[in-house]
Amino acid sequence: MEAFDYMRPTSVVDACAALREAGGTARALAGGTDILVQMREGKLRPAALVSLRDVPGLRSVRRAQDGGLTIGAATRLIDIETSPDVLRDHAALAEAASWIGSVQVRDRATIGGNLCNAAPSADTAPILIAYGSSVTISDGRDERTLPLEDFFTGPGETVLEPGELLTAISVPPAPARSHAKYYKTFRSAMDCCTVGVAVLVVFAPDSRVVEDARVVLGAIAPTPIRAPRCEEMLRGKELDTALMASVGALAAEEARPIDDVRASAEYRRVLAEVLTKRALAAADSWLQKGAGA
Amino acid sequence: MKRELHLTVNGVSYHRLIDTHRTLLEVIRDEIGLTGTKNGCGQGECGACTVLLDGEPVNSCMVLAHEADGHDVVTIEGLADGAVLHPVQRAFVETGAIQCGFCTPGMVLSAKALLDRNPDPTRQEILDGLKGNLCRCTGYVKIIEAVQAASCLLDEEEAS
Repeated sequence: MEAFDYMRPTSVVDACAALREAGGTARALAGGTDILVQMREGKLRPAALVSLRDVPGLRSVRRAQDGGLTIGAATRLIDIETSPDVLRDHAALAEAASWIGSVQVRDRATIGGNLCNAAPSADTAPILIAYGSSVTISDGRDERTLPLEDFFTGPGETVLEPGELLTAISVPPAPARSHAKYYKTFRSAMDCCTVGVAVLVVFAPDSRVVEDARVVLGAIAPTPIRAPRCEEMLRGKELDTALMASVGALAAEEARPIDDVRASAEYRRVLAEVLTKRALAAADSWLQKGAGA
Repeated sequence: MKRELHLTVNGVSYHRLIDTHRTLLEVIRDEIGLTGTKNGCGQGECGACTVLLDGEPVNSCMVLAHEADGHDVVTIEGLADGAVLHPVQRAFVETGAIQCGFCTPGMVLSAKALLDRNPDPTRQEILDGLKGNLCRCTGYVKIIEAVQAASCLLDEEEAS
């Protein structure tokens, strides 16, 4: 690996100052499982790494009274996967985290790292967007909060400016009578997903009618994307097999996939359809079984 | 850029001046001279470089040495008690779960960490726990048997 400056600040203020001083040539270092691989391959040559290791307050999961979660950006995937607070109402997030890499990777990799590396295939992004999550960004003085779906601007690119740090992810409480599920396909356990689909369905009281829905597609466009036409089609209708099929077909249309080494664009469209239908079927089956009771 | 690094490796304390871009793997092998930890893919895929950092398995090729500053590392050399093999090592030897041996140090440490977390894993839990360790010789059958055998050995040890 090429040499670089290494700093280990002990506060968010100092971390942001270090990032700002390096003016865009520095990167924050959390688990390092993405960034160090990219650096070794020469794809990334930061002049400095600003370690978040000793910055307090970035590595925790807090569950508020209303059931919403605040997750520190440097919380490790292994801690999300096993957190009772996450598992309680947001089990689909814990499951998505548990599917990333190996134990060795999840012991280091962080949720903020997964988001900031902004791979179109980032596994925690679709389910977090489906839950309606937002991110908090600090510049050391002020904070700004924005919906996670607005955080990504392209493959490997986010809205983060030099001197800014992603500090927390806020996940709203899971709505009553709601079911969330993330499905992905991958060639091998250690590979990026070929397609990932997260679906949140909120059912109306005492019925199979969909009150609200979010459909989020990963690895199928330059960033994770919502499929608004799918969501619109679901709203106000009874979730039956015909509706699942129509929404799945629409998901394939909403996708903007590329051909790459992992799959052809055509195959990705088919996967988007299949996984969307599967996630809707999971919501239906959950309802049939008594809505989690 | 060099910086002071303090590591505890297999119970021994080391203070060194180390370049900040060195990985934990490089320091363990080249500075401390423990070569049981292997350099495989260098991308966190194969697990040959697995060590226990504060008891948890990590790919040492993907950890900057200075990120482990002040922490506790166990490598394969730290597992046996003198000439007495650790039960996981014994199970690998007795089951014949070793062929070329390149993946074995990482495989054994991942298996130990798994059994520390979950003393009686199912076959699927063993597969999940060893997902990050590739073996190109055995086909994994004997390795899975070895982890099951190790689980029994550790039970017996606990009982005695």
